[in-house]
Amino acid sequence: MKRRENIDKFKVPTNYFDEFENHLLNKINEEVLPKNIGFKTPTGYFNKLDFNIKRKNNSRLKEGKLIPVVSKKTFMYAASIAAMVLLVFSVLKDATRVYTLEEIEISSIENFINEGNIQLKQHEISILFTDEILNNITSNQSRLSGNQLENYLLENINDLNALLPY
Amino acid sequence: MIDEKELVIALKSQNECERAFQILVNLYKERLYWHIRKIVLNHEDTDDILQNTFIKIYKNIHKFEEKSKLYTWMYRIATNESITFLNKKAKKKNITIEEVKNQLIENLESDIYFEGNQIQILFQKAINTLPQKQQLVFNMKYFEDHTYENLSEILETSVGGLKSSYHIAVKKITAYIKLNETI
Repeated sequence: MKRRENIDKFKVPTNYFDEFENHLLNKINEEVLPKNIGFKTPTGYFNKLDFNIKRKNNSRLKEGKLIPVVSKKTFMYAASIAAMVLLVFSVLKDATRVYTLEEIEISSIENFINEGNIQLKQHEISILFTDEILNNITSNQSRLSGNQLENYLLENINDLNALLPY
Repeated sequence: MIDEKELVIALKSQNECERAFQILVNLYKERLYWHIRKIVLNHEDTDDILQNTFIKIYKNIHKFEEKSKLYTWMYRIATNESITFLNKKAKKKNITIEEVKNQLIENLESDIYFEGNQIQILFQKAINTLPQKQQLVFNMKYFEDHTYENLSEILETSVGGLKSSYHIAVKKITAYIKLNETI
């Protein structure tokens, strides 16, 4: 009687008996499979690996560093002289001359806007575009297929791990 | 036994990171090597991916937020690196990833770092008939003997899903071998 009480106190994991058959079949099937895959490594490979990783890591770190062609001091001298020359020219220049839009480079206009000299709101920019242009912009975006996106990521992103959450 | 948390702290510190990295490489180099080798099959590619994996770990350790185990995070990086490698190879040759693996299996016979026989080549062919994720589950469970709980963290799949995936994989592989070994 006492013995039966003890047995009653033992428990098995949930679904153990339901899954038992599957586990057993798996074990029997596994017996047929080879126990190793026949791969080997060059002699002493793992002993040299630490050194090889260190060497590769160091060479990558060196590649990443930019060595300046001109020293910072020389650059400062050259920049000061250039600024002075520019200042002299701009003072001497005929201030009364009026430029046409064609004479001004687009990059100068971009810089002018980027420097905050003109404040444009989103709706003010949008009225400069026709409906057709706006539709083209939207439809071009929707034409990006999953495949194109995948191709772009595979070709242009070296580190796909960067897209994963840590 | 090296405490993982202490190792992570050392890896993230400026003074100790190099020494800690050396410990990390020694601890995991063989396990990660065999994990990668089972995915890409030849030694040269494995060596390249393994080195890149460790360099990535070294460079990104400050991004490791310790939400998972370091070991899990490293396996995930090694797995992604290996699959990205195969994908790039497939894109370059304009063939599927399965075809790339088939070519790699065909090359095994002349590989000086392969000493298996026809059964082992058939075994690799059988594994290659499985979907990519099922291949990972099979290799990691059958050869590396990970627990389902560990696998669940590395592959971000439920334990139940992994168990049935492994069960199906074993069934498919044995059926393939039985069918093809007599031919």
